[in-house]
Amino acid sequence: MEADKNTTYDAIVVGTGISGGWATKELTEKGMKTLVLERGRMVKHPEYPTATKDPWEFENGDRPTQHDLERQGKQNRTGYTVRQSTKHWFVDDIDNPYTETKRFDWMRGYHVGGRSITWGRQSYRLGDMDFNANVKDGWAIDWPVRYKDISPWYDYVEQYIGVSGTVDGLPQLPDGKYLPPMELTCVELDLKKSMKEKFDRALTIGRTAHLTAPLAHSPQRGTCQFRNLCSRGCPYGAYFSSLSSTLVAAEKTNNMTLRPNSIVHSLLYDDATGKATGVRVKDAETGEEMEFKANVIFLCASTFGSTYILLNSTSTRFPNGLGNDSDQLGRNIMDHHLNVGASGDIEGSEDKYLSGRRANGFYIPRYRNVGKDKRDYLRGFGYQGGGSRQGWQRMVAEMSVGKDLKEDVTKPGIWTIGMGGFGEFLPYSENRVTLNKDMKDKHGLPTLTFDVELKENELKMRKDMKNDAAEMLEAAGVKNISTNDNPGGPGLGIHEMGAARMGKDPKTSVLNGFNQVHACKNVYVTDGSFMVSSACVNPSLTYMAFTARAVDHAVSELKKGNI
Amino acid sequence: MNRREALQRAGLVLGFAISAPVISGILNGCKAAPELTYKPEFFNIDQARIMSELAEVIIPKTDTPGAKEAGVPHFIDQVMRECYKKRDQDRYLESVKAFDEESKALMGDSFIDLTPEKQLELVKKLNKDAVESWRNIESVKKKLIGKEYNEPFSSDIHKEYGAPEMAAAPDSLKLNMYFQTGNFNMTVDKQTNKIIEIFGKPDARHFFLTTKELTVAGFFTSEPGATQVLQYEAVPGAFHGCVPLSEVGKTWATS
Repeated sequence: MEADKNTTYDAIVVGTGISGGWATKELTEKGMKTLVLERGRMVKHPEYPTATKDPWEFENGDRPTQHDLERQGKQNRTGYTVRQSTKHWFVDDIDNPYTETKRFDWMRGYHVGGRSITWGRQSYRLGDMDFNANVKDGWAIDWPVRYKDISPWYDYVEQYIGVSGTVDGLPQLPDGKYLPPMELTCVELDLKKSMKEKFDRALTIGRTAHLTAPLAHSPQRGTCQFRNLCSRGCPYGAYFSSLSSTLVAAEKTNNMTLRPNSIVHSLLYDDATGKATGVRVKDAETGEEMEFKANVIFLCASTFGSTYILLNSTSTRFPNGLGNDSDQLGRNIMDHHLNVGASGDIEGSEDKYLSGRRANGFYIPRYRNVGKDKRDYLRGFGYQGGGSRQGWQRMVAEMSVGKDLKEDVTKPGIWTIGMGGFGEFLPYSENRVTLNKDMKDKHGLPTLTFDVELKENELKMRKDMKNDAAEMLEAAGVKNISTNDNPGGPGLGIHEMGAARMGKDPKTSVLNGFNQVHACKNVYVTDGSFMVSSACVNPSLTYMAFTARAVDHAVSELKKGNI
Repeated sequence: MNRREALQRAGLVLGFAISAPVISGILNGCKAAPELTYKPEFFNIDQARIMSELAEVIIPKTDTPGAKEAGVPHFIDQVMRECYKKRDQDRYLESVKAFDEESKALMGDSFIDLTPEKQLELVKKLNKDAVESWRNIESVKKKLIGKEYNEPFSSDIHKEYGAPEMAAAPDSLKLNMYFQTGNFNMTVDKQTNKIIEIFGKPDARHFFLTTKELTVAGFFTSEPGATQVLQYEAVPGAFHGCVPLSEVGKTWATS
């Protein structure tokens, strides 16, 4: 079906990533005729260009060229995004500029599926420790929901997407219903034992959105083949992505019209009714301007994508952006700060190895400021890590050359283990994005200016993140421990959130507890924008749960005639 | 036509056969330049020959292919050309010269003219020196990179690594200096006063270690390297975290 300018759709969804795919599935399955607008190019599962290539099929051993780095210099700040095998999932920075008042590493790609193709797949729930945090600390504003409101929706999305993991019984990390867990390696099991005995802290296998068993309701998805090439896109559909899962479900309903290359840059607002009536779109390929109409609009364009649309939708009623009575739109930006931890060498287990390639690591749930533990900073952090044996890369710094090198490389190197922390980031009103109408992108549209930084609480926390990691490794007998602490810029966690936060009071929040814009109730925002605090866990599962719940609310409100 | 053939024909033209020992004496005295297995785009012919021979000494043909057969010389040429910054390209090319000088000084001849045994002997020695020197640079990097080049820290640096010689800055935003005792270069960002780079001299060890790094990378991502010397599974199907090494056999090519 072609997108029709003359139809008033039941719903428009902007964006096809983690939250956009879910909004589309839920709306279409509930019978809503839904127009889905994605700013990027079309991608169809299982057409992932590099997914099945062998190592020797990539130029330069998969390294980026100097030309790649010229075009994607900011995307390269992660150190892993701009490779021959994955660079096509990330934007050209020259075509898509932004301004950094302070360094901000904004990682994204524009294509159907968004970052649900390249995401890390770690899936954890927020709990009441997180929902209560702001009010307990007297910081920012209170969440307008609690765990009991969201837990049925976590159940719902978790079971639909399939998450592999274990039930751990920890109050700070609520359990879900999991597919069989992936195995820990020998040295990870040793670390787990040591951490329990010496620190009474948990180490568990990561909870990851991979199918380790078939999912009856998604027969088109295969089980994980342990190739560890996920960020190329998975032709088996084994990890959750919009392309393999939610958009497939939406398509089955015949209620979806998907229009890629459609840059939504502002909302149409009718002051008389106090409602948004549709969206303004610029075609990314032709530059043609067009408008589409709908009764309800779901902004799922990613935190900065959706925030941009709202900031750029000005009118007499909303001079500072649609729904921005509170002046909170664009503020309170959070991410998870990372690149801090420790690693080291392990003596022993030379007669053990592993087989297969696990696209997952271990997880150490937060223990700081939990229970009786009190630190000189607020909130806490978790660790992701792994332990494996060195491969051929170690041969560069070893003594053998010639035929000895060829012989020595056939034995794997020593076991090594390491962990990196993901730290909670407090919301600060002054950490914000603003619209810059003076600098335009290649489409002639305004761009964003970022003024975000880690502050005292985050920096204090990083000391523990580094020292605790070293301490725990040392206690487990790990040798030659080295630590690292390179925060880089905020944004490197690729968990940006908070720019259109929800709250009880329209004076201090943009959205209400159902993700509705307080001042314009037929607009919902369900990507990371809504987050009120960041917790320290990967947020995508939370976006999915809130999205499904918000659609349920929206459809019910539509039926009641409330919106 | 190779030199041996040419000599035999010359002998016939002269009316007598040049004897085998004479032929071999002449040939050994002027060893035939090794043939290139690829068409160089980044290196000139002489540089390409040295790099190719070195790569093959580092990973030789045994009962499995060596660096040349696995396409490593072409890999190194392309990676240098496409992936390295100009400054690093220049340093690498400068270090080829230093490497060949070292070969003459230590082993008596240009690298490509040495016997295979002498080539391996030189490579083993350089490997040890180069890895040690690299480890030193890495530990200096850890200590200095990201720190501000201010008193009293800068005095500590001078005490440990010697007084710096200022080098001409490539552009006005950076300050370059060389530390004699520590034998490394340091770049300071003039705007932040932070130490942003540490790197060694473009000497024989630099050429050796860079070539080794690229040889290892090019070889073990090649099909013969990954599938014959190591083992490679495109679709493992399962993951087992703790199995006897004897069941797995040898190192996996990818992780």
